[in-house]
Amino acid sequence: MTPSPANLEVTDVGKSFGDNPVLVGVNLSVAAGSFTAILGPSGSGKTTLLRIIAGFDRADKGTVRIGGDVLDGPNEFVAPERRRVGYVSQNGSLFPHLTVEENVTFGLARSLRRGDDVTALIEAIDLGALARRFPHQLSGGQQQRVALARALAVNPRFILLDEPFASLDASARSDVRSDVRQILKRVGTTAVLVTHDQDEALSMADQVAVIRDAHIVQSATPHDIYQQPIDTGVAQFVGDANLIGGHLKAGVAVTVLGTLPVMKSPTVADGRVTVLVRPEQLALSRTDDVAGVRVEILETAFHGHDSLYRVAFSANSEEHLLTVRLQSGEQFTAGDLAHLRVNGPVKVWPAP
Amino acid sequence: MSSPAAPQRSRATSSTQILERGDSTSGHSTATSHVRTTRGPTALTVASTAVALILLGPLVFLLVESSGAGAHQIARLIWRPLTATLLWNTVRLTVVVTVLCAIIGTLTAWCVERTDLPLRRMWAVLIVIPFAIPDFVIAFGWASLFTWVHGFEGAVLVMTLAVYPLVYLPVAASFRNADPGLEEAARSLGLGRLSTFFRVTLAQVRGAIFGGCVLVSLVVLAEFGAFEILGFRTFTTEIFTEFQLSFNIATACALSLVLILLSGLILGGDWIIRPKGRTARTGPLAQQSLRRHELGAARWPVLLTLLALVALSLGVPIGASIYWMARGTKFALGGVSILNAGLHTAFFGACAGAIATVAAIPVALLAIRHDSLKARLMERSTYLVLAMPGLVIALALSYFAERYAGGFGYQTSALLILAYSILFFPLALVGVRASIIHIPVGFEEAARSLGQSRRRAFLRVTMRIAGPGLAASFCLVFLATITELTATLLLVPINVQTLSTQFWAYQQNLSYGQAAPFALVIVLIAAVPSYVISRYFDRLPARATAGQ
Repeated sequence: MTPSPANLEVTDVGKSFGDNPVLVGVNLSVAAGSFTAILGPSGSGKTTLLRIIAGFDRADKGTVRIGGDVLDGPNEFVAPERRRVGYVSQNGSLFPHLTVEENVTFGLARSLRRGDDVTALIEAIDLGALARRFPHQLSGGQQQRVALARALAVNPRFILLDEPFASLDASARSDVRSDVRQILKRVGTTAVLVTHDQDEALSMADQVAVIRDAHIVQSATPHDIYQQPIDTGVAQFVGDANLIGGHLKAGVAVTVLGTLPVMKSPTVADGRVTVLVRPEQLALSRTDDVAGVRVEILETAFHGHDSLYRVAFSANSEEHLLTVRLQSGEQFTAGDLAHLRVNGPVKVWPAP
Repeated sequence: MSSPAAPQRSRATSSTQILERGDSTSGHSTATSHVRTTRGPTALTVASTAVALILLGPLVFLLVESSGAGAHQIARLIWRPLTATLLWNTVRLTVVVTVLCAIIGTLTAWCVERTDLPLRRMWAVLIVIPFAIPDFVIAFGWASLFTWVHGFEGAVLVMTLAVYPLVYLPVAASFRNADPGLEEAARSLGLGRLSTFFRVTLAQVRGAIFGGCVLVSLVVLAEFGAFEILGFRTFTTEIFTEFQLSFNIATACALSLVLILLSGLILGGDWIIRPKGRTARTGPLAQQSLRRHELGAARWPVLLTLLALVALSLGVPIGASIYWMARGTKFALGGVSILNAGLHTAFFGACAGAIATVAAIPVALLAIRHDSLKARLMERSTYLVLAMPGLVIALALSYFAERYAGGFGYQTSALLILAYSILFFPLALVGVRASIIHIPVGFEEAARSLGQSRRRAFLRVTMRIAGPGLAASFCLVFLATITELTATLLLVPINVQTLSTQFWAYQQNLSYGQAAPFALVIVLIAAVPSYVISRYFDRLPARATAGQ
């Protein structure tokens, strides 16, 4: 197979079902050969965007281009079968009346169905032994791998993954995720994944586009999405977040947790701000010699690789609650008293 | 039985699915997640509209003919003592038979599904089989052996024995799907056995009882053969007499209108007052540890009662047929051979099965995949055919052929096949719908993203997966035509006999010895397989999720 990955340009796309706007002014740009995750809660419009790119739905306005060709525009609409865009749905949509091999070769011309490419592809997804099985005889993870192979077999310019891991149980999910990631890297196809799972989006993608209430609110690398979320909503959606009030002056934020250094960019005007402190930026210690706030441990949750603590303290005659994540080392139990310290610069927004 | 009965009972085959609102709504709810296409599926809409127009054709002809006769004339024909007599006969019979069927069907279903009755599986089959025997065969069995079986009492006896499975089937299915945990909850809340039965158990299956009763009433209204044999006059027998023997078309039309009105009232009433999906279980389906009620000492009277029921409904007609066959006939009448009649029957049935199944595909697709008000109305309108007895459809078609087609087509194979296709369309639609509803649109989308055109995706995926279900729909219609009598009598080509018309000819001439083998053949080749196929649809996933 020699796929020629293509880039995707979605420009000002809008879509309504009845009076209900599902997508408003959506712009998205995906580089050829890259992996982008569209992350959003259910009902945010992310699946509709994917279906418009696939050609199953038509946009009300705006343009969809792949590799420079207009697929959906004011005067153009290319049928799904002529787009060369692969699609893997949430449950795989394997044809129940066909075997694994027949599923994979479904989109190929009759003469190509017995080729070496097909054998190689089935081997590549590690399902050579299952080629003659029917879909209902496969596990959920195997079904998704077959669905991916089937989509790749027709040599698409582009592949769309619609929550393909959501229906898998937790143990299979991480394996299948890394398999899919590897296969896509090897093949080099451009891929867009839709998911509501922030962990999945952050760990798999080169680029994450967060979609909320029909709008794409932020599109950036996973690192920037996590460290520099565009607003408090995104901050809370992509991970645990402690949000506290503060006052910004001369590049530092004055808060109940002390005076904290602030990230350099983007610049925020001095004044009242909301401060984001990720739980892993916080540290607890029993010793009194460090500067910091004295807190009481309310709850603990041990996760093996790390532990989460709910801690409380009062300041300015107000009760404050925070979440702290500690990698390992010292363990605390509910009722313990400890000192709390903040590491690294924090993200701030002008207060509403 | 009458032809109409055959059709309608077979419609009833999947009785629960046909009329049960629970089913169709649950179907819709599972389907809505797939509904997304916004642009109008033009070809589907056009095809469905054409089908709906053809289905409603007979009704339109009837109205045209009636208005041709003049409202005054029609009113005069309706407002006379005969109508009152027929109305009284028809209504009291329908009410009594429906009530008896509701009681017998519900109690037997409860015994089989909810108690530790010995030999449950055997009873489950024996109780349902009369459902598949044409009513005219059951009436023949009784009337030929016992001269006292005639008139109103005879009609009540025969029809109750012939159609109580129409209540049994949906209620038994409903008991199987209902959550027995509710009964335990009621007992733990202090209700006694009896009040639990009435307040909880019956409440769980009342939708199914109601649906069964609607089907029973429609079948009784449409019945012709059994009443003819039993000498009981209803609208249907009177329409047949007026049309076929007296050539009094205006009267036949006027009476047909009243008959359709009665059926329409039943369907409309069902629509309005049927208890809606409030009996769905909330817990998961996986509960097989159902504890059955212990019958204890009551087991023997229950067994005896069931034995008596089976002997009356199954033993008498089959026994009578064998008895008459053994006695033979002294003065044999001329007629066609079973093989000859069977081949004609098979030809008509195969054509009708294919046409009805193919015609049902666009209507089902439109309703399932493009869930709009328009699509649902179109689907519902095809159910109006349920209110049209086979006799009325045949009458309207033959009228149309004579009046507008210059006699062309009247008593030809084509017209008979058309009548069958219309009559059994609801049956085919239920089968096709059940086959398609659980095929996600996602399959076709996947096929299209793999480069297949809309048409090829449909043929290579949806039609292939629906294949077995479509074949079963075809068989259902095919088998239903074998037991059809009334429309066949009116429309069968001259010099051709089908199994049912030849049986009828012999029976009318009291050549019981010659009629009996036809009755047995009809039972063997039509009734038994149609029972088996109805079970196929029972096993489709639609059943499991149906809230009833």
